[in-house]
Amino acid sequence: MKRENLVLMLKFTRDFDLQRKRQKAIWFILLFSFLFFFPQISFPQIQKSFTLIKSVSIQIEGQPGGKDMKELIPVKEGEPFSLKRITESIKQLYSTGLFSDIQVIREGENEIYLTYIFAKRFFTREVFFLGKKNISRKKLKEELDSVREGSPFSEGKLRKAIKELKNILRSEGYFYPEISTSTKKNFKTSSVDVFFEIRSPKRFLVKKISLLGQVILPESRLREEMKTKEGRRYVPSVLEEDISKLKGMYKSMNYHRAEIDIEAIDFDEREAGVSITLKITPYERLEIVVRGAQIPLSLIKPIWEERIFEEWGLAEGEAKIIDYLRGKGYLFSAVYSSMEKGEDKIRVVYKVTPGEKYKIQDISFEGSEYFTPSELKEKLGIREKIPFVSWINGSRLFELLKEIEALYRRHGFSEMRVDLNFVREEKNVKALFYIEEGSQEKIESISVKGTFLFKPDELLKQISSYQGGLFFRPNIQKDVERLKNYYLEQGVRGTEIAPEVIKAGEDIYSVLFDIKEGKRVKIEKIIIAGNVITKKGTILQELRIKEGDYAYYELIRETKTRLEKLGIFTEIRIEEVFITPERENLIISLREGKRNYISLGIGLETKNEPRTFTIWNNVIRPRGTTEFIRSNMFGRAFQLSLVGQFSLKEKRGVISWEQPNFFGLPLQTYLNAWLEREERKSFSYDRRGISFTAIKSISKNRLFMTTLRWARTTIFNLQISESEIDRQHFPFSASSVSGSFIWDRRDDPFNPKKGSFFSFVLERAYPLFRAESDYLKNFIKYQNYLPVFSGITFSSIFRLGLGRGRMPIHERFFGGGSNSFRGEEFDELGPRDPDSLKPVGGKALLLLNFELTFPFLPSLRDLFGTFFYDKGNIFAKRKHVSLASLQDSVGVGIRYRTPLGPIRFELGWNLDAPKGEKKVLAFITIGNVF
Amino acid sequence: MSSKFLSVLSHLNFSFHHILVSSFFTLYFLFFTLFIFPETIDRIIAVVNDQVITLTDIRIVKAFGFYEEEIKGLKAGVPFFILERLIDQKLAIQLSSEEVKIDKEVEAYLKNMSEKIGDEKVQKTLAEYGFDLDGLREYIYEKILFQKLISRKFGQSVVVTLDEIENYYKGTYVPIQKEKGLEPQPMIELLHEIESTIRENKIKKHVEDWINKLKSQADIQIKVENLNEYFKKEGSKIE
Repeated sequence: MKRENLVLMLKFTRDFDLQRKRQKAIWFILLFSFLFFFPQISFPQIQKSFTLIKSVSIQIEGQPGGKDMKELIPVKEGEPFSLKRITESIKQLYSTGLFSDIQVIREGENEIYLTYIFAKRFFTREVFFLGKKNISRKKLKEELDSVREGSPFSEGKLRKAIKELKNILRSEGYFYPEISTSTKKNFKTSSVDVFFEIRSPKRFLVKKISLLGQVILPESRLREEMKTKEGRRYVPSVLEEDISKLKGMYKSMNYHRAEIDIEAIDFDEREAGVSITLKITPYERLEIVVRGAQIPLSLIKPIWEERIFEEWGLAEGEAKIIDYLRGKGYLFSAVYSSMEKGEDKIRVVYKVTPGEKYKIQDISFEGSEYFTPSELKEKLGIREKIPFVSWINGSRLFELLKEIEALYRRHGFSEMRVDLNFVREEKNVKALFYIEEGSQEKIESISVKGTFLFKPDELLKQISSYQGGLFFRPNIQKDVERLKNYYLEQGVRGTEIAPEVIKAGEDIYSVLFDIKEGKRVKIEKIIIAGNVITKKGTILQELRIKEGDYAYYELIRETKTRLEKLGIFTEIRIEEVFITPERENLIISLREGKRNYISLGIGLETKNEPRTFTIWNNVIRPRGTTEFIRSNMFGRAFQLSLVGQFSLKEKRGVISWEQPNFFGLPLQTYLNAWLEREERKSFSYDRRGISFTAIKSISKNRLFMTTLRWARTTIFNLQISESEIDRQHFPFSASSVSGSFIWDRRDDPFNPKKGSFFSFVLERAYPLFRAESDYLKNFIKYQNYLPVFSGITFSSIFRLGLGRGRMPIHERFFGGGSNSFRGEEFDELGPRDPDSLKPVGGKALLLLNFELTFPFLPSLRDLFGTFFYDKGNIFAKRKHVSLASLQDSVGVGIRYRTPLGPIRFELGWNLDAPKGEKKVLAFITIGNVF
Repeated sequence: MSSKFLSVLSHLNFSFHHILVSSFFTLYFLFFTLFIFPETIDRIIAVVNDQVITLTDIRIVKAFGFYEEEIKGLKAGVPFFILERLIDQKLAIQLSSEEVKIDKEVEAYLKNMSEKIGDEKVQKTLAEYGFDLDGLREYIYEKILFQKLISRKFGQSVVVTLDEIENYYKGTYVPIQKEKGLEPQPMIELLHEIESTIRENKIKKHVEDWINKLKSQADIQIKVENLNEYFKKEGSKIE
């Protein structure tokens, strides 16, 4: 056996002999190459130049990402590998707000395979507190800063939140709690519920309160004031309040600088008790004495409550007193102050010489060539003096000095000077501002450099500065911003602009804008993320920019505005993520809001003049409103709402369906169905109906509205003779189509001060669907608001209504009341039933309202007075319209402005009231006359 | 060896040498594949009020010796030290709204760096990371801006009193000199030096307090527990 093996071995080696040398050479070459080159690929920092990226893949929360997400990544297959690109891409991707963590993994050497690993950004949906029930959850939620509902969530914030919670609980008297946290993530909605479990907080009773230091006041009195008492629970926040209260007590005794500190708090855990030691340091007693005038000490005291430089305190006090006296008309007052220091007392004495009290009769300007006096008054907001109406006061007069200086400097007069002089005439004084304008700095030449994308003329049109115009440095800076914005609007990114200002002579400057243009960027891809319920199509419909467009900033902004208008998102972010300097992806990140909304409202209403203020007479009636809204239905931004209104005189239930678009058309549409019952002067009615309205905006403040309506009305409680209505058509059905045009240029729809409002409505009722009404109705309204002087507004309203055909009583025009004609009660204007004398309405309406509104007191900015004149009437038929038949009423009123419109109290005198009828009527209303 | 085994080998034309070499290759290959691939080449390390600091940022700062003097004394935790400095920089710069022109200082720093490290090495390191000089300038800009902000905020407001100089002289300088066996110089000769040292220490303390206050109010998220694991291999490749 051994011999055979030996033979085989010999044979084995001999057979290889011939091939061996060849194979050896091949192996050697392979081995050398492998050993030499292989290690170089093991260290990523050592790169060959132009190593290409073979593939880019993504993983989100452990799952492969979709094509849409891959488009997000600026680093693409086929491009050279660069750590700089990768690190920039990580920063860009983070800025989209979609991810909380990003890693990039690399595989391969000659061909690089990159994997982007993303962790989704989660948002806190709801925060729960488990454990002790008697700790206020609302308070914990409100005061917890690091974890808030709706805000981004991270694990790191939980640690911070635990610390915060411990502090909050401690301040409420719960000590050493054990707090554990847990979370429940919803990967579909990227939301997380956070749970804080609070266990075993300890409470302590106050065993002893000691007061140390210079107590001064009787201890019993101090202890009585404190809510923290021996035997009660120790709550640090209550102790803080007690300390503030005690400080207040010392302040009232003129110890303004008194300090009360917690010297010690000793916890006895065995007995669950705490001993509190407070140290009281009253410091000096401060006495402020003002001689020579009645000055409220509350003006001066706050200056001395803190430790301050005494010189500054005295000067500040003098300035405040002079300003106060000037406001009262003591224009030439003088104040001298001094300080006396005792052992534990400081006495600050202000000696005031008020001088004579003057009324400011007139303000004039001299020396001004650039502005006329009336121009100056307008720019400074100085209105003309009106009798019985308070005008400018002395304090404001002296403030004008700085305002005039600032005004001139803005117009290039950097060396201007202004002085205030007075001409006294008995108790009156004329204020004269003497202005030395100096020379105006001007721009000799203005140019741009470095622009290739746009013509220089085009750019110069965007700025406010111009050749020959005034020079004011802040304006130049604003022009830089304007130019930057222009480039952004044109889709250019990365533009840098540096202004160069060169003095070309005496008060003459040359301005050069040195522009380093960026690149015009095209949108490669638009990616939408964050929408869970909302359909992609709903979002795409609102886009004003598309793939392939240049990144016009205005269109991007408009897109954001349109998405916000849908009312279904709580956050909308549009990020630009650059792929190359000329291409970018637009990432639209959305966060959907809550979809259900419930509201309840309760208030009072009146439609008559107030005789008494008890609700039993039904003069002022309670009124309630309830509303439920479900938004973003079917993910298409549709909205369903149910509204109920009820009072003793009317009840209404409305169901509405709203859509931002109508079968792909950009028309906002409403479908409404309603049931209502209302009591009017001469009748009551039940009505049910359905309407469809489509609104098309033509521009920012113009829109068209079309409404199709069907309503069935049953009249009851008729106070007029039946001959006044078409008895045969009782109840009435009306089907109509109306078109409206609205043009609203008011500065504020609730509290307009300038602008105009125009509306035109044409309604045609057809006898369709067994409807009886067959009429044509037209209503025109024009409102104008004109600011006359500072704070004074003149407003006028013109209303014309014309109708023809078969108009049942509830479709006729009525007038009278606080919103139409203030010489008659609600609905009482116009023709009456001969028997019951109740109003019957008419087929024509003509109303004119004029108001002059003025500020009442300078210190109460929201309080206005008003004079008004109303003229108008209701006519049974169009042919009865005549100017001679118009009634007149005048009146006065006070109104208080609120964000939802003014609260008005008005008295109206009907100048044409028949004998025996009330001439003076009083109205209380919320809202403007409309 | 068994005859059957030899017989098989002879048919396959394999020699014992071939087996040895193949085994070597297999082990060699496994070594690199198991211990090298795949690798995290970049990631978010920290987020400071929505501003990201990546692994590459820390590597760049380390590679170009931005904090060389401070790092010299550290035995461990260099990457974390750099991360802390970058966080401080971001916090301070975020607060500042004014535009500060420091182009000249940036160029001077860059020139100094090139002279110290060597132009060739600078270019080589930039190429390794795929950066150019403009990219590097951004890091230098941040560092110098931070220093400028600190100097503006605290440089003028720090006052050193005579008492403090005296206390330092008696409490610190003299004992140190005595420990070394040296004769302490008279205080009058060291006034300027001591004042400088105290001022520097005070500014440092002010800065620390200020930064700590900013940190307590900021939203800072550190995404990585152990930063050092990303720097284990660095010593052999980039100094």
